[in-house]
Amino acid sequence: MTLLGLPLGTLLAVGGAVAAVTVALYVLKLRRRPVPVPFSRLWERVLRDREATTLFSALKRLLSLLVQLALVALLVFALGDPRPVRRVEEGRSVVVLVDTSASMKATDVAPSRLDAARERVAGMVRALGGADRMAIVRLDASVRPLGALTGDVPALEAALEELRPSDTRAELRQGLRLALDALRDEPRPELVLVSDGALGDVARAASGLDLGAVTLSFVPVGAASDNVAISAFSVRRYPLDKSRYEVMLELTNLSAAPAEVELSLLGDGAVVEVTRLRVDAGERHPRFLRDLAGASRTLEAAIRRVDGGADHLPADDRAFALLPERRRARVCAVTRGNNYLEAALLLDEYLDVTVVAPARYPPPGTFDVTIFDGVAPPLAPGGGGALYLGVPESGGPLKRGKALAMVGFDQWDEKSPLTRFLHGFGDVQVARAHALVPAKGDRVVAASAQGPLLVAGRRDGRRFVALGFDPNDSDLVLRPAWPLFLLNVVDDFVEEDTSYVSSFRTGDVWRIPVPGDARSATLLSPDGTRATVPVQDGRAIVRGEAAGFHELTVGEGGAPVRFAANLIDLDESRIEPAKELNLGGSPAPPPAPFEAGVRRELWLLLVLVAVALTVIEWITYHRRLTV
Amino acid sequence: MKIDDRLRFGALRTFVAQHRRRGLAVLVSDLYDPAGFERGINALRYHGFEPYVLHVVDRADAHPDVAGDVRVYDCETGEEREVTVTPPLLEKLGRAWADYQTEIARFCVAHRVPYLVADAELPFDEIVLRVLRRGGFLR
Repeated sequence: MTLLGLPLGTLLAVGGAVAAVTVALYVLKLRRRPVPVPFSRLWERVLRDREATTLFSALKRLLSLLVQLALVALLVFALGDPRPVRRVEEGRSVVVLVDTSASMKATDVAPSRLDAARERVAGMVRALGGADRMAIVRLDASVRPLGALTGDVPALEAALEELRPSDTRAELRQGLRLALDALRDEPRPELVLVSDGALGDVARAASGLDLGAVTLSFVPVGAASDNVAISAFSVRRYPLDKSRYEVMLELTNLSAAPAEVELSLLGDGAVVEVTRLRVDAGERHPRFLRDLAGASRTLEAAIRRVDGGADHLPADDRAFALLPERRRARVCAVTRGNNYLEAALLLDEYLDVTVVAPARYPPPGTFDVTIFDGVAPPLAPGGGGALYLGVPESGGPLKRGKALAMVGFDQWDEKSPLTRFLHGFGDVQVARAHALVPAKGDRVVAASAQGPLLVAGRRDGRRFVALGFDPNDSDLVLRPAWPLFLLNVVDDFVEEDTSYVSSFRTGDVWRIPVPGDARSATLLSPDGTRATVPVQDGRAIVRGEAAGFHELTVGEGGAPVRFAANLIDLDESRIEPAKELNLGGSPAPPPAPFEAGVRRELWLLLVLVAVALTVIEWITYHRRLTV
Repeated sequence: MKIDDRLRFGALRTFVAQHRRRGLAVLVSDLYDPAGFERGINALRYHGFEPYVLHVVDRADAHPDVAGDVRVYDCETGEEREVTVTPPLLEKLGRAWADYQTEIARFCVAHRVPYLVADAELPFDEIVLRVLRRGGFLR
């Protein structure tokens, strides 16, 4: 027996003092209440018979005193929190990994899988033994312990209440690592995973991890697998008509039977398209919705089954996208006269074009883009990014190399935004050109076999794109690629400040460009909560957990940066519950039963005995059995 | 005649000394005499009076509303005694009170002394007119 509460010396002191007071109260004679009677001889007759029981009365009084002293001893002993040494040494150390990933939002077990998991863990918490300790860890993309190992049941129950499902995947490997670290050197270590089994490749997640003495067990949650998911969703504006856009999405039927689905598309909150689709069992069904209009900023796709079938996971029934912001770009064209250039710039209604002769450069005002057509005066402040259509011998951002004749684009970076949509770029014929000599840090976007012809880079902090030939010396200006190339360059320059933000994937660390040199920003999540996030190197660092539209604001009154995030993760959408968990060895068994019932802490029993004694004493006193 | 609920042997002895003319003597009392109720009645008998006993009883005396640790004192003699009143004790007190009443009745019958019991709750007129008439004291 050992004492985990007050030490023995303190207990003896407290017990002695309280016992002394109790005895003193018994020794002190109480002042009795006087009661007049008409004939005291009657009382004498009665009390004469009682004289014989005086000794018995004294004994009963002594017994009452002993009961009181026993009460004191029990309560004082309880203060010491006595525990059997064996129990202190043999308590179980349990880390419970509770899956809070998106698949746990499934409603196949009412009200949700996470609620069912919470109930299962609550049962374990209530059944903890006196020396057992438990820690609850939230397992999704960010593994977070909700407290240290403790036997404090209210604290564990409070931690359970903190569990919330997220729109992210479960990072099982991180969870296992954290649990093993927490259980290192702990007695009787146990790891309990409560999950629906939508954990991806569990054997891979556990590879290289040594469980050692840790006992792994698994509590499965979930009952059904019917689910239809939006597994891909993206949108783009048409380059030459930015008021219209097209959508590509993909539906995946993870059920065992075909599904009839109604797809709704909402632009800026209003329905812009409704269509019905049939998706066979297991099919990934891509769908393009072309030439759409009616949305300027936000797009949301939503599906619902219309055939009466079940779709147990609502989290993947919606997807969000943000259309690139349409803004008017100010373009300054410095040219001696170029119809091909001016005509191409007229194609985009969102361009404010200023044409100026080289001798009159710079014109008043600021610009997002300056196009130098065969000339290269110093780029004026406020000139924005610079596009050089042919690099002069001097004054350009980079040196001109050897002269080339009858060349074309033999290779180009297809992933560069400058070459986007440029089909047939390889067919361009150039009569005369000069190979460009990129400086360190410059990027060759396209080149002929004889040398670079299209280079992008940065000079004095300002971006430039240089073409190694005059477009009029090629058939580029006669091809559809010509206006597309110009608009790509303009878009690339314009969108650098606002940094075109596409849809993010929940569970990843998002690095969102923000204007200015702030150290922190305010993130408004889809559920209306606000949080302060750090900014490093001009990018806000956010661990994304919720799907939907987010807003990031820097400083007071700053223009918000909006972006969308989606749960696009078939591992989470595949909600068929796992019956067992196998980390590479044998399947993990269910956890060993916890000892149900009252926690076996002796102090609790001592207090209960003291209460029972008090009740007995009270009853016997009022029935005049002990007086 | 005034009802005197305090019967004392001394008082009756004074009474018989002051009244030389013998005759009917109606004794109205609770007969709570520490010296014994017999001596007062006997004093009347020995001095040639013909005693009639009208015993005024209060049943609350048998079941007092008291419990716990108390100090009972005789309101006439002032005698005190500490006692812990319990339900069994109260039962015994009730039996002792009843025994005392029986003892008085038995004494009166044995000595041919007319004996009537009157509830202390009754008004005095009721006792005199109805109780005495019912007992044959009055016509």
